[in-house]
Amino acid sequence: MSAPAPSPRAWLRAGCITVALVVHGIYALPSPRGIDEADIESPEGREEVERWRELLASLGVTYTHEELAAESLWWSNTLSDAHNTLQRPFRPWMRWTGTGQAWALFASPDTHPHRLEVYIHDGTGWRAVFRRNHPTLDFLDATLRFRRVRGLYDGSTTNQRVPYWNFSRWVAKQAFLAYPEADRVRVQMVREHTTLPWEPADAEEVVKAKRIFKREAILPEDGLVP
Amino acid sequence: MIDRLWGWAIRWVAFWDATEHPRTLGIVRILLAIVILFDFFEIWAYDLVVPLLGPQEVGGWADLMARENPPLLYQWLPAAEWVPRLHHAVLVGSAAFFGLGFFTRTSAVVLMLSWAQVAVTQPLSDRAIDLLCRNVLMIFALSGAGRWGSLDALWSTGSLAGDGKPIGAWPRYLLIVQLVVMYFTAGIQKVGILWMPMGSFAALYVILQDPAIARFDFAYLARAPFFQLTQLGTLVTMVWQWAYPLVFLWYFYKNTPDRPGRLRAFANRWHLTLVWMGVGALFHLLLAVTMELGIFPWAMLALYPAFIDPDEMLQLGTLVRGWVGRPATPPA
Repeated sequence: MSAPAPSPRAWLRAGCITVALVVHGIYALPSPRGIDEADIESPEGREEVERWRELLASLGVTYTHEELAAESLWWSNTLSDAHNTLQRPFRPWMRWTGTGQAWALFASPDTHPHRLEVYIHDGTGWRAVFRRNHPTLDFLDATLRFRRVRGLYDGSTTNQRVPYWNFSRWVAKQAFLAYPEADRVRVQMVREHTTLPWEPADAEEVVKAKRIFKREAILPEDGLVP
Repeated sequence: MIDRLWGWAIRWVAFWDATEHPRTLGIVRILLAIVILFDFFEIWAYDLVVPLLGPQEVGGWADLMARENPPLLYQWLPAAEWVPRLHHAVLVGSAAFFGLGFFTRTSAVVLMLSWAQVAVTQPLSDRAIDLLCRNVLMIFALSGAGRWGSLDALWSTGSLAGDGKPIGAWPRYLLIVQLVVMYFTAGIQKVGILWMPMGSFAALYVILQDPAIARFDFAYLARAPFFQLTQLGTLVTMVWQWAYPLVFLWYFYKNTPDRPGRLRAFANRWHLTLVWMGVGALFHLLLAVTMELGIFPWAMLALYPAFIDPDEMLQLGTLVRGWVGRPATPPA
């Protein structure tokens, strides 16, 4: 005896699931994000291109750094554009529901990470009150570690400057409230360079996204001082 | 040829038409809601409701009103301080209702849509795990997950455990597909050379030196044997993520134990579905210990019961009750 034929409802359900799988499959297709000259010229971009160039050279495929950078740029953007075209019809739905498939998690580890630092200025000069992962400089530590806050500053030296500006202003306000002696607050990111254990250490630190706030400019706006 | 295609189509439809007890989906729903509520609680506890959810006009960090296409919430409502507070209340309320199984489907839809507004309000604070949770909520919104361990079940059947009436198994299958897609595509997109032998499998070491992500100062990992352990961790991560789709094969073997084949026999003897789950659980626990990723590992683990079918879940429950309920000394 053969199994009973599926009901119309079962066909409809399977059809809807198939459509959903196809649409999400399109979104899940791995494609490089579009990059620009600035990405490829950044320290981490140059380092990545150089490592690939050396690898290809060891396999007998020779490129100059500039040629490989240009190839990377072209392929990344071509594939990214094609992926965007496929996604376009479904984008309003995905935006409305906040759904999608984008799982490039730690796809390319950052060899030039940024460290958030907060300083206050008083009669004696500048002193640090927060440095990420420092055992004692832990002002607002739990809040600044919160994953939703981390997104505001991690990587903010290259994108979305307004949220970082507002965030750093908020940090300054909290610092003025916590340290009555502070007359200025400085929020900044420090770019470090992670080298591999057998490579020479690179102690150079580059200060980026530095914001300095004055007490008299911050607190009166919030009605906290007359 | 047509007959063969038709046969496949029938099997495809029958696969998605399967039914099962709602307990597994109910458990996933409750666990996920607890994790989500914790995340929303943290927003409130750190006094970040307005900064994270509000426009800069009222103290928020986002320049919503300056955008060409502001979030719907702020197209409908004014840029006032009560709006982000109301938004947060809706998030918390719908997550609580979802966990309690009170108007389960509706609360899943409300939670997903209001969470989507968080994503467009402050994209920088919306991470991969938020996206995954909303995908899962979409599945739950169409499922019978509210038929077990819920106020909906209590209301309609007089018992929190419901009446045991089967629900569609497809939402649980889709949860498994979602996890496989996530792990596999995360694996194949790891194109950074540090994930590869040519990059000395140094990815994990480099990631753990990133002060924005590392939970502690991991400078000591540069020394032997710690660096070698990070290399091993990198290799295992890559192999595990690339091999994740094999879990479908292990399930297929598990459900067809009477068919021949050495690999089938091996997979079933060594319970490879459980091995895949175990490695994943260990992976997430290590992430939770070493990296500052918030709810990411916990929300992922909350989805893991989806791998266990409701009958196995019942056996597991009986086993756990046996351990917990076992008297410390034998009764006289």
